[in-house]
Amino acid sequence: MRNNAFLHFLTLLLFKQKSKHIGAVLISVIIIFLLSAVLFLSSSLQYSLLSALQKQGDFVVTRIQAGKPANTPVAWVDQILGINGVTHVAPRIYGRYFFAPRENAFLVVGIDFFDEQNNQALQRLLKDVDLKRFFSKDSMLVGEGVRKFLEAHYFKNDFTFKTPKGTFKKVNIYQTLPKQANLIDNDMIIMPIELAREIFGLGEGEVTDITFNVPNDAEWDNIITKLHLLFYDVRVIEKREVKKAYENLYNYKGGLFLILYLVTIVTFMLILYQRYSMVYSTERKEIGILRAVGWSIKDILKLKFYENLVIVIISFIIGVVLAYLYVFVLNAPLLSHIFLGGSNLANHVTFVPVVKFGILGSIFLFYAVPFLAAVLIPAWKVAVTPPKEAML
Amino acid sequence: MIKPFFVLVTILFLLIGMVAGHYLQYDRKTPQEALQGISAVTNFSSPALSVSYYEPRILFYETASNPAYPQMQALNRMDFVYEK
Amino acid sequence: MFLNTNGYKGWIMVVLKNINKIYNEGTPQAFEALKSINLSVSHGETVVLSGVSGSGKSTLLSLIAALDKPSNGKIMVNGELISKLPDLHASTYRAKTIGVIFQHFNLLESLSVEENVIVPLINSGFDMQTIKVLADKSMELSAISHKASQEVKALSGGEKQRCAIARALIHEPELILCDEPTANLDRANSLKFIEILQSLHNMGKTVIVATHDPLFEGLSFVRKVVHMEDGTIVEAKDSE
Repeated sequence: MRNNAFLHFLTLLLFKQKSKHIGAVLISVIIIFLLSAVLFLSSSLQYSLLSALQKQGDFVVTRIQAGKPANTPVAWVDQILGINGVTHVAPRIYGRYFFAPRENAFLVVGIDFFDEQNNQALQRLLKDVDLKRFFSKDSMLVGEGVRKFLEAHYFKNDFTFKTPKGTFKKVNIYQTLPKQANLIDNDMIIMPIELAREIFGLGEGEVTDITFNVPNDAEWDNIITKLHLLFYDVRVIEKREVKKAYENLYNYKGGLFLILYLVTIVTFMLILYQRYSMVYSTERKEIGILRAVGWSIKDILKLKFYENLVIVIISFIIGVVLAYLYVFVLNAPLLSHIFLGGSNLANHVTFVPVVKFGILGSIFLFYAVPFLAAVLIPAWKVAVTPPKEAML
Repeated sequence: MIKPFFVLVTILFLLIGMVAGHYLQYDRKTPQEALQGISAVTNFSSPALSVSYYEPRILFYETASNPAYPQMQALNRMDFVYEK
Repeated sequence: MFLNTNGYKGWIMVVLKNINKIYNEGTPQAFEALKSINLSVSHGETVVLSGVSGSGKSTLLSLIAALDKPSNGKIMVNGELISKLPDLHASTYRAKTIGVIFQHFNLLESLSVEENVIVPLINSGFDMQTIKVLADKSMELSAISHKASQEVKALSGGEKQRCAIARALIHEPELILCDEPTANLDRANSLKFIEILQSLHNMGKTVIVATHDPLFEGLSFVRKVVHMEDGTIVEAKDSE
């Protein structure tokens, strides 16, 4: 292969005329980098969220009043338990706690620590939770973002919540939730349900919503009907609904980016086309010379095709590799803000590498085909003119 | 094939190899277990969107969460602003 | 192949029969560059086409080189009818049978001398080693070996031309066409070119030179001087 004359000449031209190609390579790298970075990020988020969703309860039931979620009576728990096929019914209190001085908010989630399911899950999550010590005083588990925020505001060991009654509630920071779950728990505070009730000022018999499982998924539709028969003012959120939503999450946003990139790509192709069709360009003369010394139109097109294919492949590899490093090694600074927001606590998410090769292949095709066309059509036009004219 | 091109191709292959190595070696299990643990304990799998207090933090629990822009507040949340 | 009817020993290399070339044919700007040209050149002959600029010498040369097509008439080179060759065959003809030396050299400026010289053989199917051997040979013949690795844009006019000669000779063509070869050269370089031309003649190559340089008058190895005016041959005299 090293002795092939065409390959030798092709690579020779590429290197000797690098100033001609460097602009095209740079712009290609930038476009491909941005496009793949967005797609890497959205597929990684989808992957992580969908895997987290697996362990979530199948249904969430909440009371709706005047079209808005209202506090759900805890008495519903027993009624739901009465439906055949329902397991793991758990009341839940959650809400956002507003930290007025800094205008930041935490997501406080109150769960039943004595529920066997919850207890087991917690033991798996945090290896050394000593419930005795946890309940010896009011305690909470905080996410990484919350811990950093509180530490920065000198709440090293505890934090004082203000209840709606106007009293203060000092809660001990027991442990930090795992950093690897920052994607979900960054601004989360997990505490016993009674404590959360006090902080949010909910009534004795009230919770935010109720979650439960229905192991037999063939029964799901029946269960929903039964729930609507039991309670008239209820909203049921199904896991499959959330799953569908996660599958679509950021897709459209990716699409929005795609449209922008499409505009960029089209503009770039037009510029390329213009450049290659310039009447007195050196490109034109070069093609004329090659034709005059015995190259056929086919030879010229072959040279131009491979020349630009090499450029597209090199740009594609560099762009994709840079995007990979940016998203999965540097964890996408700036871009992650667009996806996860940046107006509350800073979230440092480690993105799990997920590469969808089908999407990468499509990016390559969508980029390579117009690129090659934008270059080959003008080259062909020059090649078919008599060499004498082209050389002028 | 001239030598600088050969060098370039080698570098590109090294880059691809590096990325492939990272991709294959990456420990996906630990973060997955952590995420599933949180999801099992709290029944929440919604991403921790870093949004202002009045914007929906938990996706799909409040109606009209916009899939194109999940952080945008839904219309039925606007009363929060006006009630104030 | 044809037998020469002029009495010169050898095969006829080039035959032109009633060649017309009209630019912008069928438009008000139509211009007849060549009118009923008849000419034959035998194998091994060196022929000079002389005449002022615009007399049609370069057009005639480009028709012989199949860089352009005549409006009507027949051109045969080495027994092959080239006036109506489709592109692929015209390219093969250019790549195998002829070597052209242009007035403006027409070199690829970003490449070195050697890299320019090998261009005609890239699609020949030869491997790089063979091509390099041939390039060395033709560069030596054109006295440019010492600048083989230098970039063309750094060369002087004479050196550029010798590079162009080496490129025209690398595939060992039968017919060499030179279009105003000395127009951009000083006297010393022009004389050097004539020396190279003589050595090509001695090697038995057929050479056609289009020039209005008086240096080419009365050269001993020039077999025929064809004088052109306004697209017609006004005088074709054989040297003794």
